[in-house]
Amino acid sequence: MIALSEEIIEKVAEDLRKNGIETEDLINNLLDHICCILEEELHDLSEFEHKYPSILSRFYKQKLSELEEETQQLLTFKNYYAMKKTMLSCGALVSFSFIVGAFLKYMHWPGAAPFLLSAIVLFSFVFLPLMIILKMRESSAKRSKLVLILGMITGILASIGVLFKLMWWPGANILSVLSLLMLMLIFLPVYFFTGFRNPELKLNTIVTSILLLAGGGMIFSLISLTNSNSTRLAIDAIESSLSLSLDRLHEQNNQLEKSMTMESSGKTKSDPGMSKAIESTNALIEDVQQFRTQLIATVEEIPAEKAKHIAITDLPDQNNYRQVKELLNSDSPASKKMLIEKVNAYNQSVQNIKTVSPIVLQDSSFINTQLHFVVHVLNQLAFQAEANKQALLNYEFAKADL
Amino acid sequence: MYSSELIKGTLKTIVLKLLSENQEMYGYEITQKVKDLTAGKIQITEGALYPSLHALENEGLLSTQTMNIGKRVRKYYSLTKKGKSVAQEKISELTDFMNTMRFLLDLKPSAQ
Repeated sequence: MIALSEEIIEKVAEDLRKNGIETEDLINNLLDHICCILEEELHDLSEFEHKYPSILSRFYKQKLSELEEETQQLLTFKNYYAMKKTMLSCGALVSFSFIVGAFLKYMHWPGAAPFLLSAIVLFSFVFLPLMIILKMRESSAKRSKLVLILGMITGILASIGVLFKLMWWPGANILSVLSLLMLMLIFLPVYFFTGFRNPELKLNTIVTSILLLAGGGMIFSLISLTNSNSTRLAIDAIESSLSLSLDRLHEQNNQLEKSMTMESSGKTKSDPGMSKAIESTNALIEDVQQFRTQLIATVEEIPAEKAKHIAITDLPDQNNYRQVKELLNSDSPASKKMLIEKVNAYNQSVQNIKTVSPIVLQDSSFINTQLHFVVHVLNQLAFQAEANKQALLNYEFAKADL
Repeated sequence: MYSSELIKGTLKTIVLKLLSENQEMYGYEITQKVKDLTAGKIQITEGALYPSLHALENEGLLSTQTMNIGKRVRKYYSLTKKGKSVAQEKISELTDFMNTMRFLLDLKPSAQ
């Protein structure tokens, strides 16, 4: 046995670092080990250069950095079994919550939301990531790792989109469309062409791709499901009945006004406060009418004269909520801010008159910005104003009779 | 010499068993000991030994002590309390496994 020089020891340590061993502990272990072998096998220090490469080559199959990788992997995955266990119990919990939540939801019984919420959160943030991490360990090819990661992102996006949809949270459609794009344009092509090239996986890949396409297509066709026909008919009925009442009220008020002007001619003038109230009510009715006309004309891109007389049930059933919303929030005369201000001013002006009630209109009245709903709100507004007008006219009429 | 696949599954048990009989050992010593005891039939490769040693240390089964030998550091491994009980478990598991294997392999020829 010979004593190694410091120079040789340093040389070996340097060589280990250069060949990809990074963990200090591992370097120490290997260095000592190699030195032991050298001390055992060398008869003379001059043999070092010659024998060292063959000694080092006993440590690995292809390259020395295998040792570092293997060590890192063993250290990282010391929790392998715990992870597997967590994944499986989490999966069981997710399945249970999904079944209970879906059942409660289907029956319209209370308590569905917590089950569905926890199921989706657990599924997308615990089960899916764990599954992907464990799967990634099994596959060594970079491409299949990419497929796994893409699949995870798509899966998380899709399930969060469903969660938002179920909870009526804003942004659900954006999330769903994003996950659809992700699925169709990124995940499926990468997945398909990765598996397609491998003869063993070819059939499996084709079948799975078709299943994903069909399943994804079916789910996403449900996204912008609108109201059922019966619901639409019911809404139409409510809207036409309101329009009818509004028209009648308007007609009656016209008659009343006409007969009053005939009767009051030659008699004493009416109460100035009252006639002022009638005036401002008339102005408000006119404002609402103008607002409605402008809104419909702008959104439907039709002439104002046509827009003025269009019935609410004749409005086309379209996705125009964004356009309407923009208009309502703008600075134009057809903005909800202006309308609310006008209504408030009107309420102020008639607050001392007992025969009329203040008109109700809030910012929240415009929460749904489908053109239909906004026009409905405007019709209700006009109805309230016409009702006030009738109350005022009746009061005047009764006083004139005395 | 046995194939490395056979040895890989039993490596941890071998290391734990050796350490339960010897107070503390370092890596080279472990490989030499195994080689001596088995007359060279089982040779632990360094590529498998050190990752396992690090993993066992990380799991809390082994404790270490370092000693400076000139320019280099030697790391001595010994069993912790947890390591001792795991060593027993692993040894009886492997014994049981070997009995089962013997049973399985003996049965086959007569079954035909």
